[in-house]
Amino acid sequence: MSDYIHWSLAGTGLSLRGCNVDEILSERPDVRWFEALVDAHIVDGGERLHNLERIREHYPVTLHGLGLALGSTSPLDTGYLVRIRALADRIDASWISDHICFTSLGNCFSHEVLPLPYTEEALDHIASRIMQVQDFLGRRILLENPARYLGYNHSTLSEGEFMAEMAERADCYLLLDVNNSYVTQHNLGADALDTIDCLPPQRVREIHLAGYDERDGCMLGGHNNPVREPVWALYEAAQKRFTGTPTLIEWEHDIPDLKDALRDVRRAKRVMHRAQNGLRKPAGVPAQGVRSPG
Amino acid sequence: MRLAELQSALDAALAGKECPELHRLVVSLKQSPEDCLALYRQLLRRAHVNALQQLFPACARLLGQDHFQLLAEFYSAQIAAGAGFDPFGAQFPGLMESYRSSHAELEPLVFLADLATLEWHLQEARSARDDPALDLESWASLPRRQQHRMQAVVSYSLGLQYSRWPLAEIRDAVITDRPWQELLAGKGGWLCIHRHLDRLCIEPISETQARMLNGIRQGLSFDSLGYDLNLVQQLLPLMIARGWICRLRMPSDQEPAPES
Repeated sequence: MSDYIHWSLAGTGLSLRGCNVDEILSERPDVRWFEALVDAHIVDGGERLHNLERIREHYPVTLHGLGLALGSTSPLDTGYLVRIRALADRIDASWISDHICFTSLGNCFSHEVLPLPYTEEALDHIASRIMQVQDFLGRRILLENPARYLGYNHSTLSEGEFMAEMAERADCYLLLDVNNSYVTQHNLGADALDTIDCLPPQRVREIHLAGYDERDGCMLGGHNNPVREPVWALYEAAQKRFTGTPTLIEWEHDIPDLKDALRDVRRAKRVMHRAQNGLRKPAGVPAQGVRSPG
Repeated sequence: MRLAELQSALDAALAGKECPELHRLVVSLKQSPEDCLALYRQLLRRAHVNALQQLFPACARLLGQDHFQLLAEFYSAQIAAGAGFDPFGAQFPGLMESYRSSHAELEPLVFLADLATLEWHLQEARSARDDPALDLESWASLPRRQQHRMQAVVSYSLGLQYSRWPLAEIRDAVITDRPWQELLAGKGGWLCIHRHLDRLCIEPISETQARMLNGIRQGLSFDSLGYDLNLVQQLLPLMIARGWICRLRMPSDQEPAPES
């Protein structure tokens, strides 16, 4: 299988969702790459797809999905896979990512990622499905930890253990969403630093940052705010362990102007540079230095 | 509980069914199992409502937040209960009409179902496949006596709709927050909804044009459309210029004749 990861993406990216493409193309912001939502672009034509192609002429693009439902026990949607592959080929996507979850009721616009129990059975199941998908797509994919608002008392593995073992068994890569880790820690008590420590650095190929939301004491993934301070602190720790890993600022709702969204992009870049320069050595974790391409 | 059973139970819980076994499995530091499941249920419904709001913006404005929310949640609950609504939103116009007719205060919105159908056509046009570039050379090089056998192919994005209401004007007024009530006195007619150079278009067309486009969409050749060939040739340039027709082809002799 091709190890098709563009390490030229080292730097900070921004989700394309809600962005004004004309503004991006006229201003050419200092963003290393843009991430497009798979489900919004698996169409055969139209303005949205053409806008993505316009962006792709000037920036690398990664694809992020919600619909693969890799943890689901219902059959893989091969039609969906065909369309993802066609889109990835069409825009020469640098990589494709999705979530460690199952989605409810087919892919019927639920887009609410439902948490898997972290058990051996779930591990076997998802690893086998990831391998099938990777074989079909002909490339390794990245799997992201979801924000979880419930856990299961029969889980036998921590999130970090589950992700690490899944990546080894399926030979896939990982996308660490630091905001989601923080949200899960708040809601379920799962230590986010433990998750970071458990993940094998060679498997973590992207980091997501976003803002959370709170409702009735529960924290939600949100993606509707700038990145909050506790998440920045966790990101510092993540960059110390996974130094130089490409990082994306993700927005989903209440999307701000490009100028405001770029503030977090710049801050993430500063954190990344500090880690790369070894200005703040992590306690007990050796800095890895900048990753080399390939 | 096995993984498949857990997922079925969670699906059922999201559809509002009681699942005591699932409640025994679910843990959280912040909420009871019931509240955790209710939260996912709310998020799922909210995602559906937002998606429907994006698909039917004018209808959402007309109905107002409360009615639209209720309607969208009802639609969402039907999906959660296993209704095979695919693609998402396609059955919403029909549901909207039955909802309207059962609420007296919505009586003035007699055109609601038609408006919803128009918004659905726009959604289909928005994401339709790109049309191929038109090849007029093969048409021009064909001997005139052969041209009646040609078939035209309509744009992938093309939708046709008849309404007794001036839907395009009403939609425009609703979207731009202008009064729409007086527009109801206006005339309706046929609309051609399509995408041309990435721009969504709603164009009024004559009944002749609508019937001709419908016949073309069914795969009829020019001589089977039931119109004088001169009229067809007269209307064709406009249809091509507007992007309603994207291709001309000669049906192969082996092809079965399309059903009219």
